Amino acid sequence: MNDNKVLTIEGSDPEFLEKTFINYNAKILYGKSEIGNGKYSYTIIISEENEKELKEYLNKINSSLDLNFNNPSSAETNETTIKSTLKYEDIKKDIFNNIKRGDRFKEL
Amino acid sequence: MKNDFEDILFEGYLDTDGIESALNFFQRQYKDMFWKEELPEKTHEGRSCYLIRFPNKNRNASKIFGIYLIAGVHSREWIPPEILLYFLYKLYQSCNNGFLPVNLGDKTFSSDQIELIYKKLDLFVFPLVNPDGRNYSQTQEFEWRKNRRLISEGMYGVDINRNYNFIWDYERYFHKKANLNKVSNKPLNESYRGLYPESEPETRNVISVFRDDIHNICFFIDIHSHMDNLKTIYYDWSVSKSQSFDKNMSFRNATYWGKIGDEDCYSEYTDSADLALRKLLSYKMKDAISEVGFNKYQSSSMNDLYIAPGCSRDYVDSMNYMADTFRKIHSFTIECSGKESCYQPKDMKERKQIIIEVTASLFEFCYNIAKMKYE
Repeated sequence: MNDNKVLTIEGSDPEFLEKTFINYNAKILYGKSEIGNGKYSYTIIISEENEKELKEYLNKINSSLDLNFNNPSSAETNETTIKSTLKYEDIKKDIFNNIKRGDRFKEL
Repeated sequence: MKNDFEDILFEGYLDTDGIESALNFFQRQYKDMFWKEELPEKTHEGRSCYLIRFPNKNRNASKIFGIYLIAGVHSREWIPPEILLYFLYKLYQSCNNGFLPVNLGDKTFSSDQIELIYKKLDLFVFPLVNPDGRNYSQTQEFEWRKNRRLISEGMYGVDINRNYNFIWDYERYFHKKANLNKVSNKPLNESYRGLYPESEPETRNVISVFRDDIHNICFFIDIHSHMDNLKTIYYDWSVSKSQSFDKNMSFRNATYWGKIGDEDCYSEYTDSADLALRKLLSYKMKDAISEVGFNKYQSSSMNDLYIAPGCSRDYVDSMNYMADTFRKIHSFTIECSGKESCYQPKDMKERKQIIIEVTASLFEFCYNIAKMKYE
């Protein structure tokens, strides 16, 4: 689990993105969040190996969008982008900070 | 120092020890009303599971509606068990003090309403169905969904909410057009259904409560949380859209096996009177949530969410159509969520709002059933 990558991905087609995440065995951590201009953001966990393949796949999809010369703005609009790569352990630490552990009600 | 149940609960997520600690507090504080019984099976990691009965076991319940509430099926959904603890706390606190009105945000349940719930209902509360999973999710992988069954070396977990014995072997029942991406026969998938129906001790614990006739359970809610902004009370089938005109178009009829999920030729039968009652109760619940003043919920058929063969809501509903059915059981699923699009909101104020508003929906649900005439 510690070798996993946490990626934040933005795109305009949630159905496409969610299917892609399943295909690359990625788990959604946060999302889908609407971020305006018809775009959605997801934060996913993915293995290092699958991350490489996912990036290659998304690059291929994005470059194919450039071929749509009838609508030059479509490439920019539909492009799926990887915005940031986070550390799983940092996210975990952050989430676990909100757990108050143990026999909490013993003093009552 | 924190000296109040609510202060402690709302400070942060409880781990499995914290949940047990809350139950122990109820036992100390409300001993005349508190009844805890250990369910028949221990989990894979040897944990005991407990059912709470309200008000207690000391009355003849044959002419009283039983309501069964469960939570904590999916490990990463940390809030639902805390909702049931808060619901119990508010109930005990009111009943122990001469039926004090219960205030939940801007919504108040009067003394008379609480007294009616106390006198007319038996409640069965199973706050944490999957303690192994919660513990794992809160110590190792916070995104973990399943239980902790060891399948083979390094491979763990069955999705309890795909393990019930209703259309569990989905390959046989569903049309190839059906979108079945929320169930799997592959152990690594997070919606893995298990080796066979009811293979998991957690599933069998949930079912054991229905099988005890003395419990007289007529209503059931399974509380979940969702990462998307769903906020919905589900009252009808997950496996298909429903219809009320053709009793023969049903999962029981082998003519339709292989066709479920093909919306052009199949929709699952639901009795129209049952559907009307469930819709009414779900509307009451969502209206109660609105009155609390934080968020709005909707009510819907579960098929609008996704197809979930082997899930608890459909399994319980399916019991109504079996040959040996002797009483109706109306089943619901609540999906609660916050604004953060995640299972564990970091904002404790948001978590508190979710706990309070869903608790209000449970009080409203109970009150409306308490008003009904038992036949």
